[in-house]
Amino acid sequence: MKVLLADDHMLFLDGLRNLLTLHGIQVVGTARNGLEALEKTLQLRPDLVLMDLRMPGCDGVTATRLIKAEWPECKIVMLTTSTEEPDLLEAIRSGANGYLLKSLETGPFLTYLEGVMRGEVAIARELSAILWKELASQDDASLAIRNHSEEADLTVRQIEILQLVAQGLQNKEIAETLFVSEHTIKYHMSEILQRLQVKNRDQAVAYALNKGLIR
Amino acid sequence: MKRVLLCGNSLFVSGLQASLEFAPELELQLIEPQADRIRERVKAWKPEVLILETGLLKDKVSLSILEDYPQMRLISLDLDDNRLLVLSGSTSEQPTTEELLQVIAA
Repeated sequence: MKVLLADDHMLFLDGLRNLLTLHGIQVVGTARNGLEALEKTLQLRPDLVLMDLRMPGCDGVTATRLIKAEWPECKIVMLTTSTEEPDLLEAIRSGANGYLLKSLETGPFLTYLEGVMRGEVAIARELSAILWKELASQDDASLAIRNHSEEADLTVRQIEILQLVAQGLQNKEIAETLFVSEHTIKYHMSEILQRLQVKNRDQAVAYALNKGLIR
Repeated sequence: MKRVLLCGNSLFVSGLQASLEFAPELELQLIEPQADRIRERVKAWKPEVLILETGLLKDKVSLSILEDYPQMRLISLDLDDNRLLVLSGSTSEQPTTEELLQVIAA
């Protein structure tokens, strides 16, 4: 198996390269940011790219999109410390073949990689619940929206957030109320604005009130 | 030979072990990241350096080990922040300005 590693954390990058080499996996190249990963992937044609999520300049999700646009068959697995729902969902949308955590032990990690090479999807076990919840909430949301509006397509979580916005809460306060990060709330807010096709949160609240999505 | 105890089972720590194995002046051991195991191993093996991920620092037992073995150097690695924190349990009674400057310069 020929692998390319993309990570801006030098200690981790060196360690992973040595670890994979010890297990008979050929590391054909390394990259410190997304653009370098794009360039080296297209040049070196590895079987698999292990891509960090957050890198300076061009992040892993953007790099994955760019690589997949040029070479759709390329297998890319995100390797990150983030267990944030938006990060996982964005990675999947970018076309990644897997999303694994750096906290994984070596044995399961190598098993995941072998699975990806056989065409399987690799998702860290602790994150599968997020996917499950997201799929379930999409179903719930579809029902909720059908009852209230044919135009909007918000998830139950987004309606919940919008309800708190309507109560005057700021992102940080909403995050604390819902026990999620502020980053997650910002992600949902941008999705809400985009889906409702409005410019700001006041317009979103007005729209939702008008449609009866919130009270 | 310097004894280095690596605590953890993540890819990060396993990767570090793979990297440090190339250093002939180091003798490495890897153990599970559990406070009681770390304490037992430190007592038995007396490593000069203890390396662990930052998450373990929140466990006060890890820091208390440093108090018990002040000559040991504790290196904490943070994957999220890409930082390396070095702690020493060395203490000095009634320190002088000169000693403080030596510590700063070390």
